[in-house]
Amino acid sequence: MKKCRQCNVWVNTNADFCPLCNEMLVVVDERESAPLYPVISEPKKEGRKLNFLAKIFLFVSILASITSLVVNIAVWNGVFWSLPVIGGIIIAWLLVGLPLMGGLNLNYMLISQMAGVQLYLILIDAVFGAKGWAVTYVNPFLYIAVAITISLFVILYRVEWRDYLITLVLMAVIGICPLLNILFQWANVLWPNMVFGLLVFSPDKLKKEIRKRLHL
Amino acid sequence: MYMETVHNEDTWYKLDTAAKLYPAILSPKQASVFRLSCILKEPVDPEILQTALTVTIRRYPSFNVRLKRGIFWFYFEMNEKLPVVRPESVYPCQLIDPKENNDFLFQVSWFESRINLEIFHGIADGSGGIEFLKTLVYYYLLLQGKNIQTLGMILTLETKVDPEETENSFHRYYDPLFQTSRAEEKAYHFSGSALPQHQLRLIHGLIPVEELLNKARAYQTTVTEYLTAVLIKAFFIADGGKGDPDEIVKISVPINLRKLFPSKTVRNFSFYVNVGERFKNKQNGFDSLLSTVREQMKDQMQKDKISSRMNPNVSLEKNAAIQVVPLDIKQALIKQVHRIIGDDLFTCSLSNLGVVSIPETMSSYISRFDFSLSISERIPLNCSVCSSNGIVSFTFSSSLKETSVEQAFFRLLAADQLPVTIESNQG
Ligand SMILES: [Zn+2]
Repeated sequence: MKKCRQCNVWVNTNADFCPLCNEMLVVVDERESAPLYPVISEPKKEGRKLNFLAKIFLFVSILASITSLVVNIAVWNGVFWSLPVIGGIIIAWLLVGLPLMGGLNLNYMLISQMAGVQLYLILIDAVFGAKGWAVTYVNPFLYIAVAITISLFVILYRVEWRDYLITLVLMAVIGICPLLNILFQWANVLWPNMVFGLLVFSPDKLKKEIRKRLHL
Repeated sequence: MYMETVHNEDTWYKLDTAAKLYPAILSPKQASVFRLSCILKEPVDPEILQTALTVTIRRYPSFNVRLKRGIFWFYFEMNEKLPVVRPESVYPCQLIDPKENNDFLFQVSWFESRINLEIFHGIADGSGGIEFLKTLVYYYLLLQGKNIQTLGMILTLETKVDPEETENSFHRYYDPLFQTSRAEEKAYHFSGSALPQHQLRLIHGLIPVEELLNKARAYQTTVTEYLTAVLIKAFFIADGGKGDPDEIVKISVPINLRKLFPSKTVRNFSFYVNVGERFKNKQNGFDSLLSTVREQMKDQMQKDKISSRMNPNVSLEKNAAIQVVPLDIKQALIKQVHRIIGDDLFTCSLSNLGVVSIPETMSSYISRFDFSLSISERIPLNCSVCSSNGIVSFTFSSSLKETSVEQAFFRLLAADQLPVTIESNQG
């Protein structure tokens, strides 16, 4: 035990100076005190290398985008082909960059990727004058691909199925209905019917999950 | 019926009224984490501590949760993983990252003979947290083969979970007819040079309970009133005469609502009163300061006044228009509101947990309990107090290099003939 004459307090420490005023302490009791707190090592700085690489890629991406835009306008051939190129670069960032960044919930990641790819397809459609093939034929498969990815993820990594249940069901429903529509040329009423049916006849677990997420 | 669902994986909780704030303002600079420590008389055995924790968590379903995002609100759902104890290796009261903590929002660690329980404020307040720690220490000592009894002072697996323990008591005592605004004058803010990020300095001060009680009696005040006045005076001194005479040093004193509105909840059920004095009145002396504090405290502590200040929170929560706002927008709104009626309104907290009551058979194995708060960008210094085993333990947590407030505070107590022993986590 030590004492600070300036503060007039006892100090339980092995240090030589008062924690309050930094003055030299007077030793009253020679016994060593047990350490009160651990010595904290500085947190390691991680992810720097990746950040540096990411910066290079970002620079290259922007450079490529600007170049293609400039060349496209300078040598105009009637098609705005640079837009799909720039879109493609953004999609590549969505597909590769997002998972690398980590930390993002799989639900949000897949949904944003899916939305990105869809917008991209619509863009290609518009630029090259195809008549809606992307929306009609590719979209359903996209939804199903997301649903399968989530299922695989849940099975392979043994993550909480509850986290992905609703996304999974939504993807499957939105994806499968238009697909059935295409295959059998069923009437459009089917779509809302199926969603309704799913809510009414859905298993207990799904109902509980929906109630939790939507609670007011 | 309720009992059967307590440990069911389908059980889920809405965040209580106070808890709704914390996820919105969460950042590394505002962790909203407090630490409760129990210092034993022998070094901690981590394996026994782990077993004790595994048992304890079964008694506290509202701690056995993970935070989930809904469309409109966050919610807690049962966590099927196990909480794991770890050696203390970071500064106190840091942000709890659920991903590195088996999704739990609390963390148990140990160092030498101290057991630390750090809790994200979203799941409990100090009074709720101390119940958990008492149970943990009880099972720890029991598993060590110590001959101890609960004497009805500890929640154990033999005492069944009462639904009231996990209720949102703000709702039970909600009265929409009594509401007043919480807006008040902005307070003086203390600042200085910051310690490196992720560092938090703790300075503990220990004083015998009897001596402090006698001192308060001599001034004819309560301990909290006396300490609040000393803390305000410490800010007057630490400021060194730079403060604008019209500025007001305000101390935010948390109130354990369970004492006014009976409740067994171990979740959040506390509120606060802000008590202050202007720089220009510092010449009037300590007795005048003390009577100002006493008057303000007496006025604000009236049950009706507290109730009418806490009711608006519940009515906002129940407001249909607010409910249907998507979560992310709601979070941004809460953050803004908190800025206006939260951190701006006070200089520093003085949170007094009161006496940690443990059965006598247990207290022979325990040195004392400590209570520490985290800090935020606007409030770089907080003070917390609890007493146990005849010792009042003060803790100043700070992210500043300067120790002027701590120095002034403890020098004032020492000058008032109180024997003070200082401990710190630095040096
Ligand atoms: Zn000193």
